[in-house]
Amino acid sequence: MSRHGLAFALIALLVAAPGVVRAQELNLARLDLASPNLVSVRTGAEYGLVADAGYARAVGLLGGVVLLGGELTAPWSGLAHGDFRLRATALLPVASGERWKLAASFAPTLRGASNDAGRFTGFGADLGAVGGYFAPGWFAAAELGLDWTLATRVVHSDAYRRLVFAGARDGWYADTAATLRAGAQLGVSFGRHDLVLRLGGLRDAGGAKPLLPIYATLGFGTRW
Amino acid sequence: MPRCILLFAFLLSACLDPGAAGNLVPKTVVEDPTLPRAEMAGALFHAEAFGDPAAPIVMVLHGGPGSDYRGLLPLQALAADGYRVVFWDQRGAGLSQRFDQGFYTFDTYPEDLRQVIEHYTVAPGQPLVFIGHSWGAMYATWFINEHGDYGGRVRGAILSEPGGFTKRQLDDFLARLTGSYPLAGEQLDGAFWAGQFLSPDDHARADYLRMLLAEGGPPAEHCDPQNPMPMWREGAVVNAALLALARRGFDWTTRLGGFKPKVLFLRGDLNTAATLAQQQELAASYPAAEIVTMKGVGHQMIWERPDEYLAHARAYFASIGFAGGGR
Repeated sequence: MSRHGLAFALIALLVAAPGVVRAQELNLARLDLASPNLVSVRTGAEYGLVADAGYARAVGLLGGVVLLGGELTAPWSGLAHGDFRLRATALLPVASGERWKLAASFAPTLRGASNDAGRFTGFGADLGAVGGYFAPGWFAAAELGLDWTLATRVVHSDAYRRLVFAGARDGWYADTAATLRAGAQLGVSFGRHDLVLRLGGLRDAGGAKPLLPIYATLGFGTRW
Repeated sequence: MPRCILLFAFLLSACLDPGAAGNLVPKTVVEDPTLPRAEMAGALFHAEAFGDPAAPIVMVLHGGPGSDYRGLLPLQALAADGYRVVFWDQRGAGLSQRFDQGFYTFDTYPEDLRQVIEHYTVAPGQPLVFIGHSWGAMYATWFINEHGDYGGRVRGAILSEPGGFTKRQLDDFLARLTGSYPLAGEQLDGAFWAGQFLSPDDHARADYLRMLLAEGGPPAEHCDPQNPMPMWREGAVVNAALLALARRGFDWTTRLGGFKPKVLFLRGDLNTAATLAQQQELAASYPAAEIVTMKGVGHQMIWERPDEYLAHARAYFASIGFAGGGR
């Protein structure tokens, strides 16, 4: 399936669902309006060694609960020169039994990077789904997703022009990246807190492995 | 709503294509007819040669696999000594024609080099010497193991910091090389992070991503940050293809015992991946080898210390009786 086909399939899944959701890491069994605020921090390997902080708030919508929020991620090594990923996040259960639950997600994304080649600013969207067994004290789930960068602005450095390609073109580049992910989430919940481990693999939409083809993060969230 | 979708589609269509050569990366000889070229072995190669076509040949082999000869151009000075100095970007590398990963077999590269030699041969028995840098030094050894002295024509080789002549040697070398990247360091993390912006969907994007990692070189190579070696374009696919072949296992030492000319291993003492002990182990595969260490320089010794490197090359040529034309 082409990159666009995959994207449209995921969009169709989300449109068909009774809401739009972002597959964040949290215990869906504890998603409610009684403690609507969720703050989370996370670290691990995901396109480098990263740190992440997020806030979300549960709100009622059409008789269900939607989790809306945002998160900021940066590689530890890039904090000093402004590498970042900023996401607005939305999450809602799509199907829910007593313990077996399925949620899908949507997250418009803005990201930036600065390296020897130049400065990159990209925007796109992350579409995902997470489903599994969610008990009040723990959960285990599978996750799937597509991280699609619709356009990236590239401004090349003087060093890149001098040492590599003098004619490199600056500007907006379309459809620069699409990465599929598949993995698992394992979490424990205690009191108002969740501790969540995510593990999985990444592939380019064409099937190629990115330079870092896995992700593994540990997150901690607390609600009030 | 339809207007918004149309406007969005229009804006995207006005964007540049990251997969088109000439945007993020330079065009290859296939797309740019102004580049110097040679058609050999059924492919278009970015290539040029300097000096008298009938003179003894210095065949320059760049590193990588997948890099290019831009940083080795100081060796062009040997043309003034009466040699025919041949530079070429290997198949799928630099500005030469690209091929898919499945194209490459264990026969491809040795046969390419044989045909490049023949392409630049204008006199019967025209003698030649290899100067191989990094992967290029492995490549020269691969050829010598396949073809020996090629009917008496290969009079010697200067091998600068080859990684290994067997799978075990290469695995050890790559472990030292990749292990030298700090785990949360800017170079490695920067290349990982860039993976979100570009997928390696095509040669242009894959090459661009590979260059992000290649710039500066692995820390173990101790390249001079004040004098970085320039390059044109990395060949990501051929790099992956040859590494995948290497993982199947190889041993390019099995027939080196029959190669009688003296081989010079010319290294920099700052490189902590191609150590003296490692180069000694590799040199032991040749019946006659000499190791010379350049002080205070790392892996890019040709670019960073061209005069010193050329002096060692000239002394070696004199020691094996490989004189330039007219001398």
